[in-house]
Amino acid sequence: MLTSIDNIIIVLAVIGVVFVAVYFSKTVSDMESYFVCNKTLPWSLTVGTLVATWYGGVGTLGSVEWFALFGLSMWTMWCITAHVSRIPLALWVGPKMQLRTDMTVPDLLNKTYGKKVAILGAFLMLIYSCQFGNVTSSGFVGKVAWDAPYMVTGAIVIIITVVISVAAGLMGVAVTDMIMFFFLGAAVAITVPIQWTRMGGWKAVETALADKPELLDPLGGLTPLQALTFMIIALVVYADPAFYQRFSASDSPKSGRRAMLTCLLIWITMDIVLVAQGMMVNVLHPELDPGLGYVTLVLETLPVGFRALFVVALLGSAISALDSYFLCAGTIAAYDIYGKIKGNASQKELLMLTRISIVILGAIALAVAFRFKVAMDIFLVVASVWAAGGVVPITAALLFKGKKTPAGGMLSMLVGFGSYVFFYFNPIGFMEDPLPICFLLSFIFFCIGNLIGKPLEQHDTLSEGSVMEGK
Amino acid sequence: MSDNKIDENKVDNNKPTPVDKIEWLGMDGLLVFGYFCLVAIMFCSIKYRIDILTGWVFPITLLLIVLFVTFNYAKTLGGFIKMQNQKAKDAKNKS
Repeated sequence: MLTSIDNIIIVLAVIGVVFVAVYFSKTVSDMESYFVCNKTLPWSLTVGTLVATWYGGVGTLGSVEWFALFGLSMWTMWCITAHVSRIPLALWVGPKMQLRTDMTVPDLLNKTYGKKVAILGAFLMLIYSCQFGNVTSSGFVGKVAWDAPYMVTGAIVIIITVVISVAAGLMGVAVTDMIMFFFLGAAVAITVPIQWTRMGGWKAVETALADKPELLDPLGGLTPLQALTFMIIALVVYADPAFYQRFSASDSPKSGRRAMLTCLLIWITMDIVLVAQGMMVNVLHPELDPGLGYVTLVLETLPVGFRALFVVALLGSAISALDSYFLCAGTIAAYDIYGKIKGNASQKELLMLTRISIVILGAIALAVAFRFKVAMDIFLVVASVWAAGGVVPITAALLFKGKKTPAGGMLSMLVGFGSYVFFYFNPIGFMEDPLPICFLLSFIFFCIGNLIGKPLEQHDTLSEGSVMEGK
Repeated sequence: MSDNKIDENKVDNNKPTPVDKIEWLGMDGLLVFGYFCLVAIMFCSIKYRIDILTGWVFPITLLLIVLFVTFNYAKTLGGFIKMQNQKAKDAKNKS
């Protein structure tokens, strides 16, 4: 589908992006501390990094898939809920984390519930970091753009990701993230005005979906249980370390808070544009899987040159998201699981294990990614595991002022995670998704567990206000 | 490293920190209110199938936002690099 000019532009764009990444990684040696450690990130840059982080390859393509499959109610139930649930995060939790920054999420669990819960939490985070939907979405792009087999594009993306994860600097990644965000955002925004009127607008959508009217009901495409599942998944953000990292980097609690609130406006606008594209996929390419249909739609709509940039942006965003998660997962495996269990592991040993973990993850990603026909389904599984086991104890550690014991944390995690795995492999007829019941079980067992034993002596959580009071 | 860190920078938790108040009647309140207003407009656009909003206004708004954020980012980044170069120049002059 791409012309020679497109391919030349892609090659030039890749060289340019690599050049920018290498330049920023090498010449601006303390940019990393500028962006992450020194807390000098102003409002605009916090907005940029937050938005770029949230909408990667699978974030964009996956959202369109969901809107095409579940219709308008996906926007109402998933997008609005997800963003509304972030308002307390922006107003109260994030600003406190901006001030209090000397720990990881497993450290938070360790301080609140003890070492065993921290290791189990790290294991669940490791699963959450397996965002292989980015590999699936890359396969779709390769298939439509060059008619390449899924595995070939997937393998290339994985190899690049592993190399970057092991070798590249964080600053290079941050700058290229922003370039990808620009390409992707512009391509997404331009596609709709060109194609919407040409397609026939809402009238064409109504005609195409005449046999599925529920997809056009903003409150009706999802069953109540599905809607509840997506609402719970929206809460995963409270246990997502990437958000806390961005807050920590902002130059003040106020700046972090306003950046997050600004992002809500941007995200909801991006979502409504992706809704239009999901509807366009249903009208123009109902014969294709939604992911393939979306890439086809964009490539046949955009003029030569622009579509090359869209391909670069989608593949680049996927690689960028993957390398962040691979690095995260490798570190969790080495430092938070192996390191905590062994106790006296050397730095050399841990570094080697981090790299080995990344390579193993790459192989697993390639084996798993194309078993899913919808890229976002992988996110749904890993986010559900994390939501079922991690959200209750972590949110409680951050916000709950009452009694919290190691038994409460352990039972909540074990029961939430265990029940999700059990119901996933042994589905119950009336339940399309087991997450709501598993989440409820996690909460119930958190309450029961807190009746057993005593809290740890060291109370140092945000809920007790130690940060704001300067204890 | 990476995303599993909340941050690696140690802060002095013994140092009293200023109380950070939410300005409900200022920018914070406006942004929260703006979000709900935007949601209401968008909901109406899909409920009542308003082509001009879905096909033109929202995508163009997104494009403008993307341009604004990117240029703002580039401007700040440029300022930072300039500052870095100035620092390097000063250090060179001193030596």
